[in-house]
Amino acid sequence: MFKARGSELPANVVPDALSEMLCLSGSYYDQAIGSQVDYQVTRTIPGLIIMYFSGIAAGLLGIGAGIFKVPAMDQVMRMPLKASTATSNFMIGVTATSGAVVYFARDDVAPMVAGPVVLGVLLGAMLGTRLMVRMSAATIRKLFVPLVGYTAMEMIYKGVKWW
Amino acid sequence: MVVNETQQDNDSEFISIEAILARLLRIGSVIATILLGAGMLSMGLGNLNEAPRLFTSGLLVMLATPVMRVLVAGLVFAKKKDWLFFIICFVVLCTLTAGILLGNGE
Repeated sequence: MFKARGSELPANVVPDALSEMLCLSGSYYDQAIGSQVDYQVTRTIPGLIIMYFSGIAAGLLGIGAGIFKVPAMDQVMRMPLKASTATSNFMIGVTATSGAVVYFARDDVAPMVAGPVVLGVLLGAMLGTRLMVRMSAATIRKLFVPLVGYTAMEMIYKGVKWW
Repeated sequence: MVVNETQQDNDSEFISIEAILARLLRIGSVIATILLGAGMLSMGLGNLNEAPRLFTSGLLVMLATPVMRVLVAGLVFAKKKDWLFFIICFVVLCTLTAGILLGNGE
């Protein structure tokens, strides 16, 4: 991810058998480049395995699994960063719900706390998605790399608590 | 986003699955935002009876939106006779249901 910080789109992606079977390809209009981008997904099985562990981490730590999903899709499955970001966002809706309904059904969610927080997240997400389509992938990457570093520090802190 | 949607509408004679899901997700998040905003307003006005109810309903809409999305995606795949993706949707839906039922247990 860090090595690829300047790159805009993946090149020379050869799809594997499973991604061809599932027709895992797509295209989107990139406003930053000003042209249509077609892409292919590869290494579906390694991607699936990483997603499995990202789900465990998300359920255990309550962190957004996007921090694992985006690098997995971007670096392993060789998708364009913008498609990775959008797909991760789309998936988290379902994956987070499967965890959230459990907490909600057990009355572990305090509405007076969660309500304002979710409202803030919603408004931020609406702004973020509108910004994302306009920004270049290289810029998004530069913003994402320190975020991964910060999350890693926080996970170490939560897990070790030496200090 | 809007550009994409209209482009895909023109591509095929029926509305694409992306356009259907985009509309569903937009409706869901707008309703949730309105409910949560109303909750914030009533909290600001000191109406502590109404605020938690509005927040809870907003959160429920928020939780129901992805479930509805999987359901609708499954129905669209069934209509297209894309059975592989229909089964994937069905498995996801079963996982979500299991989560709701088992989470309530203890």
